[in-house]
Amino acid sequence: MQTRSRRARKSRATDVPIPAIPAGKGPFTVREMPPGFGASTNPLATENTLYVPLGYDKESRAIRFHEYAHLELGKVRPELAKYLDKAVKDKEQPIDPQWMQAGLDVIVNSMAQARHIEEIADLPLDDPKPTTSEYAQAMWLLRKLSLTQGKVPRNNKLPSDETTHVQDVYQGLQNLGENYTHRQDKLNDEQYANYIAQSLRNLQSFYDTKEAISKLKMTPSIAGMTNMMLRKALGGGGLSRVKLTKMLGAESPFDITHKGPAAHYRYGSGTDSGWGTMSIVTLSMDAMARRRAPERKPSYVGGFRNAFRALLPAMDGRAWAIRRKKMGGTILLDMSGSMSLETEDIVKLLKTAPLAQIAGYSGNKTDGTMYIMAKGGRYHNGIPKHPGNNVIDGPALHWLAKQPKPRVWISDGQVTGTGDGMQTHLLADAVGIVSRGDIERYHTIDAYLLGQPGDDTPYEE
Amino acid sequence: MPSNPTVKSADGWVMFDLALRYLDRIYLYGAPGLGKTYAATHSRMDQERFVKKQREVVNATLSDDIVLQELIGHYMPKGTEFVWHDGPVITAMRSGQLLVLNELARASSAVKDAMLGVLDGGSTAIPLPSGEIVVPAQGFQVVATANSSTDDLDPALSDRFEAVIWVSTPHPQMIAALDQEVKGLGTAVEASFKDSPERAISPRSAFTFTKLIKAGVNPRQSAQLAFGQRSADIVAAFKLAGVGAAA
Repeated sequence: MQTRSRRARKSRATDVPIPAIPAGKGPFTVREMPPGFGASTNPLATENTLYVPLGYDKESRAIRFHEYAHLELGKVRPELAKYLDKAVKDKEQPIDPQWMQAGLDVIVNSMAQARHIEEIADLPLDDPKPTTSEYAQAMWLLRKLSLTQGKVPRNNKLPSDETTHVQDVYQGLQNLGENYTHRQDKLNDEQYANYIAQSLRNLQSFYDTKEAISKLKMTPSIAGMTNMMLRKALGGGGLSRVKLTKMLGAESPFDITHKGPAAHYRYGSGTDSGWGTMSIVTLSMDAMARRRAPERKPSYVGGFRNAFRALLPAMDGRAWAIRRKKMGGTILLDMSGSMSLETEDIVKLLKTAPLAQIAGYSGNKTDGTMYIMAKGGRYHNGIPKHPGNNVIDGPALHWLAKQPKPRVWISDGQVTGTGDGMQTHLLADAVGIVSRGDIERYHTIDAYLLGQPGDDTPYEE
Repeated sequence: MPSNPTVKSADGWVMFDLALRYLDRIYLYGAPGLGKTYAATHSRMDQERFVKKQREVVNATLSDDIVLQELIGHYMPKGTEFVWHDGPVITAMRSGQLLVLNELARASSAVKDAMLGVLDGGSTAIPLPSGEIVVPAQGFQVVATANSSTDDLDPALSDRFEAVIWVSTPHPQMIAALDQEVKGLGTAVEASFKDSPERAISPRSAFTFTKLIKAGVNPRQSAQLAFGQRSADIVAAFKLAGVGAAA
């Protein structure tokens, strides 16, 4: 296991941000959110809380300015959040909170650009991986366009027709962002929310349809339907998940029963969802990790291992040696879809840290499972079939905090609760557990293997 | 001894104006830069009870090094003789003026003890070395300003104030003055005080910002000089709020 690079965890002054001016209200409770964990504020919550990084580095500043723009939008359009929430919970054509968040981010970034806040371009946005789903790539492109003033980045992997479609939606949202005041666009809050919802609904509908088609077995009856569905979706016809389910019947890959708690996003009603219920499954450890005998490290102390070296005129201290400690500890893997983990990654990890206890977790709707995949030098050969959401980050981190040190959490930091909803209080809870539990977070397995912790972004210039 | 009832409300300045109209001994406290001295000095001219005389305000800023003689008065050599010279306290008492005592809590013990007599209301009488006993003329009024409450004062001294008022926001006239200098600046500074005091923008810093802007310094550098390390955050907030110079 990697040697943990300990960085002094110092508390930062919470008097850096100035949320009251853009929000037009206060007082605020300011909580530090390390870079890489995101930031948030909820204009509908009764208490004004701002979760932001507090450093003076470019990224931290950009994140704060982005949040100020969210607060400004909430001030100028106090009813907007209510109408957007309605669009998310719409029974016929609910908008995925992730799409809504991406759309709002474009609007506030455009607001900031229009007000000549150039620093917003430093907003961190992870590039998509080759394994990132197409809809996630489209969300990424939508956000990225708002930081490059509409210029399509070189690493965009979407087909040209889809890129154009995303650009069109971006243009509409950018226009709404640049002219966000009532005086500028003559729209009331409901009309403004409807414009946002309609733009995002078209984009979401297209990718929902495409995803559904890719997941279906291409029977002749369905194959004939696919082109029609995609054309309709591209033309803004709006095939909702409800309509797709009706068309495809039992074969629909979407669960639209909404039996679980509704997903929340930060422009939600302020009501909270909690962590999902976690069950722990210990997989059969049918393989032995490949390991060598613990290496001896040459040293001036330890066992006298190399008598000849002691005779060298320029004695280099390599005559003695100490055994390295066994590579133990605990690694917790976020196996949600946003992490895009592949079998090779996990096998590589298992082989690199053979004596560590390794667990992975993921969830769906209200519960999830944590799989103990390796322990004591043995591991489970293969990746268990798992759902693609987070849901149980909190319980899994609680478990990790009680396991042998060093404790490593490999996650992109996007924690969710029941309904896979992103909630600020859940994020804060996760940050608290990580901090108190002496846990080091790595963004990806590769970052872990390279020894680059996820929150090592410099706080100060 | 029970402590003075303190007026702690959002409309501290309204209460101060009211107190100034009807009371003679007022203690005004709050964070630095809110305009306490400004308010005490400038509000006086608006009071009906003083309009006829149009008297001036006598201002004294206290510290541990200010001795009693500087406030009450002392003999000064003039030619071959020594003549008596009134200090600001006696000057204000003789002519019934408004005496503004800034930073009373920082005064030396001797000065604070002397203020027990000055603030004694109707029975105030200050004996001078010449044997003269000075009693306050009609209209004599004292406003003491400080950053801390009367808890830092001797109970006997704090009890002499008829009203203790806490202010938490900049004086409305300062807000208006800032707005006049740079459109929207005063309003933004006022909004910052809706948050906790440590995140609020000092009006003094805001005036420094306007001074630099008017001198032709570009907004970014003006903000750096006026607001220091937080300047980028403050400028971004100003831009979003549409503050003239920043936007």
